Amino acid sequence: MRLVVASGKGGTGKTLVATHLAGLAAGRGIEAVYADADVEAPNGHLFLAPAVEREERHALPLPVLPAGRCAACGACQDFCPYHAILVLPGAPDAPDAPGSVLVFPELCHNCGGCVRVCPSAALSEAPHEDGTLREGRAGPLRFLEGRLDVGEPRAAPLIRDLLRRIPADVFAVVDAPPGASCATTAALSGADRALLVTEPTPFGLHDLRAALRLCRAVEVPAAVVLNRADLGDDRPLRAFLDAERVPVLAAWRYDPDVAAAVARGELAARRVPWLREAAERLLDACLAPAEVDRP
Amino acid sequence: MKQVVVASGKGGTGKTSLTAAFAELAGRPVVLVDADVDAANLALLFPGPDEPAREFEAGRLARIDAARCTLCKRCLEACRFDALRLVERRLAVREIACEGCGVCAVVCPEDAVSFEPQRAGEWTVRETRFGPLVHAELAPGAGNSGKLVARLRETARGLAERLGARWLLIDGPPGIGCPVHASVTGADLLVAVTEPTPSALHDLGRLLELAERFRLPAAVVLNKADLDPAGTALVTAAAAARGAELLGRIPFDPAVPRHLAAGRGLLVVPGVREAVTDCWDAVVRRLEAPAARPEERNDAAV
Amino acid sequence: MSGKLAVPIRDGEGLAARLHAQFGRAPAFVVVDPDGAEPPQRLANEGAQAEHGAGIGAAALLLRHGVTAVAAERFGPKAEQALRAGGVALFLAPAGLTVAEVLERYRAGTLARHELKVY
Repeated sequence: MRLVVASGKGGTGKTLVATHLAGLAAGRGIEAVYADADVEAPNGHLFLAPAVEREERHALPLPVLPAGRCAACGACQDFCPYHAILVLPGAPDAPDAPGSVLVFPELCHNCGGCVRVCPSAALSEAPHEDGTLREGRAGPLRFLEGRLDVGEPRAAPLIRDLLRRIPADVFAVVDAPPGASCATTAALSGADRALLVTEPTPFGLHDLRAALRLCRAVEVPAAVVLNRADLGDDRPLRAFLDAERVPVLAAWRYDPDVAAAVARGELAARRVPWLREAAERLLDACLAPAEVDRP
Repeated sequence: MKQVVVASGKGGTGKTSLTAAFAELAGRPVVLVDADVDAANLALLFPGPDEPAREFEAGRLARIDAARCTLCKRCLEACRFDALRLVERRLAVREIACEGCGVCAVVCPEDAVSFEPQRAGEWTVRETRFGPLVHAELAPGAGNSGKLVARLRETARGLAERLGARWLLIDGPPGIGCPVHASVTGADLLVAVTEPTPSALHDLGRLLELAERFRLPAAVVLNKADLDPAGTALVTAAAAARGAELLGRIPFDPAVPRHLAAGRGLLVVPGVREAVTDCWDAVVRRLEAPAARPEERNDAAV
Repeated sequence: MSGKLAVPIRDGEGLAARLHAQFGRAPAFVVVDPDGAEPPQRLANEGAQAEHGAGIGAAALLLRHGVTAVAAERFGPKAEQALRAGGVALFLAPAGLTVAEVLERYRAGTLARHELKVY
């Protein structure tokens, strides 16, 4: 089963929920994997403190021009919808000199189209590193993480490759990026269910709507975990979720002890008994046959 | 006119509430941009009429002409984004995955692929008490949020020039990816909001590294400062290590979330108000300094 | 001095056209021959409305036409990279000047060069 923990708004407690579900599942002897797909700001490792067993650089295929065959015809430039490849003409006083290209890695979508259209077969692809993938263990829990290099613009390709490393037939918890754009979409790929973590504030509700629209667009059934549930008026949120027929699987209150544990980079359930109990119940709800989200 | 972008790395540290408070302190008119387009919350704190929404189109969406398609599936094999699938003997394009690259059209032997503009969201300008707020709503799963942010900023810049606004405040998205790049490029100052937790500290480091790469002056505001004194010391050290001025420390007050939930800003909470005002005063001092340092001036000596 | 100088313009015609502030977004360029042998040429910048990489499209346009120097108020980082890769010299001039005024300063050597930021 693959559970993806997402949220519209940032800071609602995705990592809190995801690390606990994964950790407790492993503690029950279930073969469990935690995958940190919040590749721009991966924080799961702070709480799970995994022993890293493998670390690999991740790369995207980027067009390159090995010497000599570019006729500066411009076919690649004309094809590219992203302005990622620019043809530089050869010197005017040396007409046999080959042309060359300038590639903008930050604009390139790595689609391979320019290589296909080049009539001189002059272009090929070379790896362009954009991040790091790590694998390890935190006790019985398997840990996976993607980390985007600072300055790289796109999270989605790294997230897709991270998810491909999740083995089949495990209980996988994916910690998704906040928001509802293409990075979160990538993290939802292959999900059996999305857990949307939110809070009872106007911000939380507004962003939850966007996250729910996304889940519907990718056809992933969603359920909600309400965190810091007593810090605001939850009625508009609950009314919205009732109307949308989205189940609320848990409501966790604000507890300064939990906040303090998070602030110390600790798994709060180790010190806060009610949270441990609540997380175990949430895990039970997740492992039970899913209540289908009927829009 | 100075552009200040408020960003954070980690979500939930208080970017939006801080931006809103700065807007109140900045003097009217101030131009606001909500660049966190997939979770745009600034408008929730600034009621007012919106102009009719404008469609934002970015990129292309592939379309397969079923009449010409022979189901050879070369497109499906060539697509690197998993955007094509066979559904009941028809090749369909998954809108949410298509990046409009055009490879399918290149490989199609039947000329069955065409493209239409992809609707990525909508945006508008709201008239608020403090000045115009440019905000948007991204379509679910849409990419191109960086481009939408660029459009919002361009609009805001034009408005600021027309209105003679001294300040343009940008509420940035979390993370460090392309939407953040589009939010911070060309700004005069990045205000990085953080909190004294290991997660926020970790993400602050990445954001400050990004600022360095972009040659963007950065300063730090430590929110919920008294949550953990050890964490506070670490944040102060991290900011100093990157040459980022610590503008101020805002105390944690459980009254704040309740006020925000009721649509009231940070400035109504005593203690918090003073701290936020100190931060803003530090921004003003920094950006309205009489002589800019030589390397910051554009070398347009004509 | 041989070569061709291109100036992004916001309005007007030929030598009387006024400089546009941002290189990549200008609706057109006026290309002049500093030796005065050729009349000024107007190139429409169709890529001006592109979301990303407008500067690159503009650079490609100028490279296709054999431009060797450009004067503008501002260059985006990608446009700068693209033009330099194509061996084009970059100069700075304040927006609002006419093409004629820019050309005069170019000939006199009083236009500041756009320096590559050294990090």
